[in-house]
Amino acid sequence: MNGNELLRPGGEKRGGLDASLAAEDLELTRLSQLLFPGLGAGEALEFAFGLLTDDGETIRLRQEILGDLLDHPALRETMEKLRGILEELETCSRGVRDNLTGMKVSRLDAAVDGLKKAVLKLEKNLSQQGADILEENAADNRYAQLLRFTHFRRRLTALYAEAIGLLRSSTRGEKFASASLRALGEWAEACYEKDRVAETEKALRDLDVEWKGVSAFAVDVCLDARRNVVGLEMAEVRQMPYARPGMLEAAGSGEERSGVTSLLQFPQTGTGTLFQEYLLSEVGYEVRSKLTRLRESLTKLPVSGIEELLTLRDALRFYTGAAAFAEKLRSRGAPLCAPSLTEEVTFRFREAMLPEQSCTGALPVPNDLTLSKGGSILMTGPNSSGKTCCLIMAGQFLFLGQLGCLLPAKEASFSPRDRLLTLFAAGESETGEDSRMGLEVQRLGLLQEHMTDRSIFFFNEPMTSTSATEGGQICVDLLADLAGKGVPSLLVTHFNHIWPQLRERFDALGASDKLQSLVMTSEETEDGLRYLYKLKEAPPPPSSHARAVVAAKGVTLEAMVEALSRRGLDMRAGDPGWDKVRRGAV
Amino acid sequence: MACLLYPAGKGPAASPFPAQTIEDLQLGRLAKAMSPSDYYRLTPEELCALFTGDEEVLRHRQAVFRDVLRFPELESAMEKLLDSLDGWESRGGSRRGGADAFAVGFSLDEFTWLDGYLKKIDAAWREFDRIPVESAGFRALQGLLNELRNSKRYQDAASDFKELCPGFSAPARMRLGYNLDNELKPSRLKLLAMEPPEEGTRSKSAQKRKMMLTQRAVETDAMLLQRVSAQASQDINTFVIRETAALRGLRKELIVCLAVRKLTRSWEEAGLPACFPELRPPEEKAFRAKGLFDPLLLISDKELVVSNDAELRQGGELLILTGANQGGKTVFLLSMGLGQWLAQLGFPAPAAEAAVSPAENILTIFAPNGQRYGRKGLLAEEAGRIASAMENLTAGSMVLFNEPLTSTGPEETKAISAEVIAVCMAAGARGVWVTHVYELASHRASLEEALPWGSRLGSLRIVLEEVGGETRFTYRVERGEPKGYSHAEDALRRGGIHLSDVPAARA
Repeated sequence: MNGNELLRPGGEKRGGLDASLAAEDLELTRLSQLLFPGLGAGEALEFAFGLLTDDGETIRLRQEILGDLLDHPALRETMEKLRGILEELETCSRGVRDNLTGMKVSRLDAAVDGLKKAVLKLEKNLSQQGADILEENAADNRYAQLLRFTHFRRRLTALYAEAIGLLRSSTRGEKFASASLRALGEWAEACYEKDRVAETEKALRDLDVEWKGVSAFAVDVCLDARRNVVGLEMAEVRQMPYARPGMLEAAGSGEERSGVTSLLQFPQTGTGTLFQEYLLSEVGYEVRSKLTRLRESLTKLPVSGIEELLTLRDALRFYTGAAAFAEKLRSRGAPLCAPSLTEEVTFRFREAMLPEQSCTGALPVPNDLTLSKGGSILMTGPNSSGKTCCLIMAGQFLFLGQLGCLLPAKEASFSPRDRLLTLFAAGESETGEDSRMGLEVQRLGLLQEHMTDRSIFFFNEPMTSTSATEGGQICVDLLADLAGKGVPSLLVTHFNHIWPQLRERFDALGASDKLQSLVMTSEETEDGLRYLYKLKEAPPPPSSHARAVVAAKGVTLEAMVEALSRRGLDMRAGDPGWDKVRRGAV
Repeated sequence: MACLLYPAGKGPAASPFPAQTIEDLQLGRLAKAMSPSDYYRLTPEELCALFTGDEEVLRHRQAVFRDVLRFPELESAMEKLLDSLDGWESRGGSRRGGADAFAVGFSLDEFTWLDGYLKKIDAAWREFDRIPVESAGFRALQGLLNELRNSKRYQDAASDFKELCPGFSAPARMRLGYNLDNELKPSRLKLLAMEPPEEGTRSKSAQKRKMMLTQRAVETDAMLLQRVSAQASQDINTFVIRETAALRGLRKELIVCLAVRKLTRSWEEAGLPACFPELRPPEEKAFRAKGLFDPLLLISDKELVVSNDAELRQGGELLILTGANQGGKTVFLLSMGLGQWLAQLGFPAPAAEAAVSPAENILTIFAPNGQRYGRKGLLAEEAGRIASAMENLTAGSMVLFNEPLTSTGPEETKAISAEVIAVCMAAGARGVWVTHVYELASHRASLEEALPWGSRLGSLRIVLEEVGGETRFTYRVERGEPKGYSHAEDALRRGGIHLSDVPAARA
């Protein structure tokens, strides 16, 4: 059994989807964090990137396992627990691997080493050669390795037993649709029997009575009159760590105080690192008898499936994240579906909702959105009516769908893409290196370099940093150019006037059936504009209702003049000139 | 005690500087570039706190900065004083880094350091005293150093501290406790106890196992003892810092003076001028500059820095600037904004000659970033910024608009822009409005006629050259009517964008 087999048919990576150029615009970092909440922003996105695929079989395998997980809550819970166990298990496994020398220290060694140390101390006082040997001997970290080996092996054995027991109990007797999950259950059963896990658990309980570990220790530094260090003595080895505050700390925190100073960070670089090893060797030497006894008992407890168990990490992370995401959608009443794969259209989503909002805010208005194969959508409508959200939703659906996740939609199908490409309106560059137009041109050049006929473009209000006539013309050229190459695209814009030109160009290309105009709807009411957040197929409207948006922020002629008059500025609110301004007659 | 940036009896004004202006004018980059070093770093907020329209304060600062530019030896004197002040500042944590990490043994002796510090004060006093400064600010500083150097407190400091720390005399045994983390690494340590020398021999039960004593263990333990002893002596340092609080007020002022020197030096090295602007009365709303340039271009290492002359008509003028994409509109806007800002810090302006009336504030509206605000709605974000600017707008404001309100239909952009311009104009604000909506400039006369008070409107345009049938940028700006074309396709071509079916389809 290998964890990769849960993520990819036969455990082998097939295909991919490059979403790196769209990650920021489509807010994929935030979406990835929503899926994989235990990871940092960058880590979550990187993890998702590694799983993206355009291979249909891979997508179907993941959908099948996710379906089983949603039907078997106990297995999902086990996987959540296992994730935590595996993280710790990895540390322990590394700890055991890195300290194998600790296996070689015998009880006889311990006795001989004590004698050697006494002789060496004497030699040090007699010759430089003796001092050198002492340095060399101090660099021998066998006892540190013995301490760590025993510590990690004890923890590893306990975690392994817990993990196998959990997997076995949650898969036993269950009927999964997924062959991969069935194989996982069989493997857990075999490990449980072979490694006598029940006996191991009992043996560990017995050992815990004898040994409770080491959490702290103290060393006396002996000084001469000139404050030179002249000796070191092992003062104590403790099970409990020292408390943080020292005697200089202000009283009243309620925390127990100990020692003179509060706890400081131990230097983790340079000599500090080497000194750690030296100290730990001395601690190991101090408790060497107990350690060798414990180690011998531990190595008799088998953990034969440990390496395979560790390979489950990525699969667990993906499936627990994706299942929790789907469960969240379901519990909030959002529609949920496993998208099917098609070559007939670029995508077709019915009653689709923006994923993040469906998980966290009020449920959004569902929308239908279809983009024909190699076609283009012109999306227009009032400001702040939800066009950008719709565009982001389409991009995120492809991202989630090509991860193998379920989608917040009644029905969904899509043709897997190889690249998601986005061009959003640029603001001023942070370093002032280039103009807004310059930035958009650079970006467009970059996207063209990466484009293939299996890519998809999302444009959000591009080319607004030039005159409307020129900007609109460039948008027409862009969409026609992409349609000519068979690359699908979705353009959100306020250049409503380009629709006739666009139709003309697509007609000339013989692709008029591939062009669609969608409008985000709204309605005029007595209280002003009411957003419906619903798309409909129609030619672009004559207005973007910008006044309604700016008025909501208090940017109207009346409000501005009144506010400034109130503050004592000479605005002459009653002057007839303002009427001319209001009527646009200036 | 502050004396370099404010005359006696004056201090910082309470009014906050708009955060949006800091972002739009890229004051963070400018502040970083003029900071004397990474360590002595100025933040844009610190600089903006110096923004003032108080003529007395500005004249005081101009005199101080003139001294800075006139007497190069002041730079070294200020650096030395800053260095010694910095000693007190960083003493707060009482931990020594750097070379101390390699020291053998550990030190509880604060006196060596204190002596060194006092010597630096003495040296700074001597250095300042021999420079014939003319400004009231530097004369006050000379007076302050003189008073400090000859004060009883200064004279008595060493002996005071000697009395306060006699306790760390001769510990014979220091017990260090270590906590282990989950991977069994010593992660924290603390000083648990210090024992005096023992009298007689230890009983057998009190004896402990001796660990191997290696050279490395000796060195590392000395370093660890240094750290824990530094922690223990923190109280002493707290006392010291309190005693010297008055001196530390000078630190930022010295950094600002060094920053002015660094800024003007960078302009000199690029062959660009600097001048202290003539201060004009606020009601004149003057902004006149010859050879004005954008100092941010130097930070970006641009080889070509084109200067322009700029002038706002007396009584206030809002200039509408149009022209080709990438032709230098934003750079011109920034030149004016930064010129005004620097003048109101009392700094030299990036120009050969300048005359400036202080503005009550500088308000900016730059196009927001689609990536950052796309989902929220660019227009809504921009409208929020305009509303916020309007709350602070006064007849004395300078307003700088850079391609605002483009995130809607072209007709709506024009209509709303015209209203905002009308309000700014009627309110009497001056400034610049960069746009591709040419009608805003070409129809300005009718707006002026409708609202015949407040500021006036002017039209600026980008100058292009025709050479051999090709259009070239000059990055110059001139007064004149808009040309009506933004050369967007040229921008595409320069960016290497070729839309394959364009010619055929258009044909």
